[in-house]
Amino acid sequence: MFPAYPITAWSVCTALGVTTDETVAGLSEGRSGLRAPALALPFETVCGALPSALDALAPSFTQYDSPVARIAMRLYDDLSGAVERAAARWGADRVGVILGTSVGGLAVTEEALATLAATGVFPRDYDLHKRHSLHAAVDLVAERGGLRGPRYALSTACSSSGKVFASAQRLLRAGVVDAVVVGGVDSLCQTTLRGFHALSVLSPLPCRPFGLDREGMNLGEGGALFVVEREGDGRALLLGVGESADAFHMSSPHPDGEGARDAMLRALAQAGLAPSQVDHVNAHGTGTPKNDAIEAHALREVFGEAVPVVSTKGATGHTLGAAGAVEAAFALVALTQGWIPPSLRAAPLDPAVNVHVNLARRDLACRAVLSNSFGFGGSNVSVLLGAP
Amino acid sequence: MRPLYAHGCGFWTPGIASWSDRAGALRTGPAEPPCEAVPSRQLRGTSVVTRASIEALAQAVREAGASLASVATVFGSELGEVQTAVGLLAQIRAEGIPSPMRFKNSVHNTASGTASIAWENKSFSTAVAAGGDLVAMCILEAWAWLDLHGGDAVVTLAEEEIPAPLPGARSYPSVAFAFYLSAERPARWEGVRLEALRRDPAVPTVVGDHACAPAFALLDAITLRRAGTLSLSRDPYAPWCVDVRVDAV
Repeated sequence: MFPAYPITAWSVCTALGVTTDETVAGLSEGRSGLRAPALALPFETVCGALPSALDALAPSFTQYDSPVARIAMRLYDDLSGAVERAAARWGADRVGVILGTSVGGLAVTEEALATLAATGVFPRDYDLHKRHSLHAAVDLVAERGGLRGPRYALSTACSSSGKVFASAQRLLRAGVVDAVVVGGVDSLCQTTLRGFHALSVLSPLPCRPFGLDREGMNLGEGGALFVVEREGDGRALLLGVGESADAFHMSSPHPDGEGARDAMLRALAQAGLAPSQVDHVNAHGTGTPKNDAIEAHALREVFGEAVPVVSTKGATGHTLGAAGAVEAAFALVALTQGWIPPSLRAAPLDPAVNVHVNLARRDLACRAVLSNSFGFGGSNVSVLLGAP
Repeated sequence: MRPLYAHGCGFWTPGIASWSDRAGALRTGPAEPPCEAVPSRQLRGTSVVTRASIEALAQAVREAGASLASVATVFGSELGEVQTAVGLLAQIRAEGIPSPMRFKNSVHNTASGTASIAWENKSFSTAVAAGGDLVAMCILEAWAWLDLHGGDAVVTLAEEEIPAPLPGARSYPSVAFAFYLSAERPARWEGVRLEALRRDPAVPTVVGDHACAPAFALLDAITLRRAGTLSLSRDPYAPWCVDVRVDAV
């Protein structure tokens, strides 16, 4: 068993609202943040675009400016006090930053290349390393917080910001750090919208994870940040993280759900919990026919059919590399506020999805909540959070 | 964290096949990574950075006499699949919709996924991105995993040539390194041991634009068995460094 590390602060920003309070209120009300994309596309879809523009970066950080950088700063503003307290308590050298992202600042390069094509020159402020790169948001958060511990990005597609919890756990356990700011950020961009369309997995309509007539997924943007500390008064505990590899296919899950099951079982084993002690699962639940059926099969193998399962992607869209963090934040809401959200548009349920999909917001006292994230390359992660 | 024992290295750059065993001499080779350890159909649509990573990884595993099917892997790169990203954008501009194969090979963990699928390797694998501390952070990610789980892991670091028309295009060549590291001391051990990964402002940083630049010194230290304190960082403020010890029988 691992030590359970307290999560002493957190923030989330999604299509439901750019602040933590707005997102949680939207989730509680059963709202959907899916809307027509602002980006011009040659096909129909909806996506979880942020509902309002984010503030520009402070002048001292403009070299990092990108959509993900702005999301990271929006998130940081909601937990800056906690980061400062952690740095003061442990020392700036002992606080790390590990963020997950799949897209990074690709949207900036899309714009820069469009400008180049139109004018023959790049925008003057375009910087490949500080705006496009996957680690730019990590460096920004570390610099904004004055943090000087280890800092890096994990980019394993849609499992990225679930895996950051495992890395943080290991650095804490090894004594390398005393606190870590973990999380994930991703933004919408042309490449991912058109790329997932090319793979024939985007739905033209709002997605219906686990629903009978589901047609695919919708992309979203946003992120979440957490402060995980060696000890302290946590609102929740990081109990366990399970990682696994399918070793099967670049963009399709193992048909038996083997990797998904392994990830869930490893998270449980690390926490020393039995499946019956988990009160709720926030599923990966993308809304594609194949992925949902395989995940449901794996869930049933591990938990049976009693545990309430939810996909919140019907509310936020699939935030790709940020999904693990966003959905860990929703798991944390269930633990700390005693309710679980609805799985929007899941009714009528697919009879092949033989797990208990939760269809309406429901009060439920939770002691342990699991969140799944599965990505390209067969990279799987399950994050298990618990009440203190 | 417990010490790590270096059992093998891998290296590839255009025109150089490998860093020959413990001699520090270069063996000439092809302009493309040969990647003979992976069936060619599984490499279809993959980039230079993915194939270079896999080539270096396979060399390191071969030198360690270990199995490609079971070793844990940490892949690191600053810009990752940047050639694929630029290719996708050109395709979008020309055709509207990108190739699905190119798109699914555009993620930062393409090398991780390709290697895992090719060798049916279900062990731990991850993909890291960082700037000036890339080499140190990848070693740290592997080290923390090995400290907990024991066993072996390969750290692979790779960067491909920045493609035109991006700023900095072709300012450095594609290159990949791999280091096979073990948390277990073999009964009869002779070779290089790594200890005490830490930040030390007294250690001079590695100068160079290439994110993998500090890996040259690590490769040199391991293959030539040079003891000392080695910077793993291009961060000018307080570089990460590691102590390299040489054990003789």
